Amino acid sequence: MAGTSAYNQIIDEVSTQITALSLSGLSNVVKMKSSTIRKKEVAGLPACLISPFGQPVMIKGDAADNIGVNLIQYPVAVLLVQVGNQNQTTNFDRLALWLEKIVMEFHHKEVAAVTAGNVYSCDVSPRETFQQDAWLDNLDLGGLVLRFPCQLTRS
Amino acid sequence: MPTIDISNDYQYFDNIEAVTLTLERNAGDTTVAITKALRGAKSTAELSRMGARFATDSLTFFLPGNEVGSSNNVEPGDTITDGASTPVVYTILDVSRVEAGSILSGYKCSVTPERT
Repeated sequence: MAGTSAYNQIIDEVSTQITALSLSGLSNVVKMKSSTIRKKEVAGLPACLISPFGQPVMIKGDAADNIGVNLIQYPVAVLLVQVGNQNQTTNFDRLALWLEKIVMEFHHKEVAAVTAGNVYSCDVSPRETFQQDAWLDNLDLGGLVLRFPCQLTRS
Repeated sequence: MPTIDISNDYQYFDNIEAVTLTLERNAGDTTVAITKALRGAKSTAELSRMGARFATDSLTFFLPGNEVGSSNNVEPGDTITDGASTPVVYTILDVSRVEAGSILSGYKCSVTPERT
């Protein structure tokens, strides 16, 4: 069976759009099944790791409502990682700015490039900006979850 | 019961190395030259953070109390810099005093190397 999944297209498009933002200092944008900074996958830090997040959610409308028909919400995790070394000021603004720009890139926007389904919006769930356990590991780690409602066509 | 003085045992340790202890303080850093530090074996584990996994190196250094000095307190956030040709800086994550009775032998420091 030919074709491509909407989920894969969405994650590819997230990667493409974040790369196109040309975020200053961020050259490693990597699509993954499961986020890591293994040297096999990531050339170095800083890096943006993009992967599926949790489980997709089936969205159901009521009996007279077509909006919920064939509608799935696909969650995508976006993690930003930079060297921190427990410094409280270095690159504080850089990582916060990257997160803001990514939020503004996707929040409440259609993703028209996805052809396997109609991705008509995006809900952004911000996560921590500087996750504490990672900070103790000498990493600055911030992130967000992009939730894309996608109407699929039943064939 | 006799008192056992372990404060000078470090003078007889094998496999010692010279490091620099930096006490990182808001008022200004203090560096302390340590001539007889003991390095433990390094381990590497991938730890889960925000649903991702990140490899982290961890090891210990033993710093003799007499070399650290009685007026200095070693605390998390202080650093140890080794004497390699390209020095590696290690961040101290936690500290244990090694004592026998009231006699201090030194400080066992759990550390992780700074990232590059």
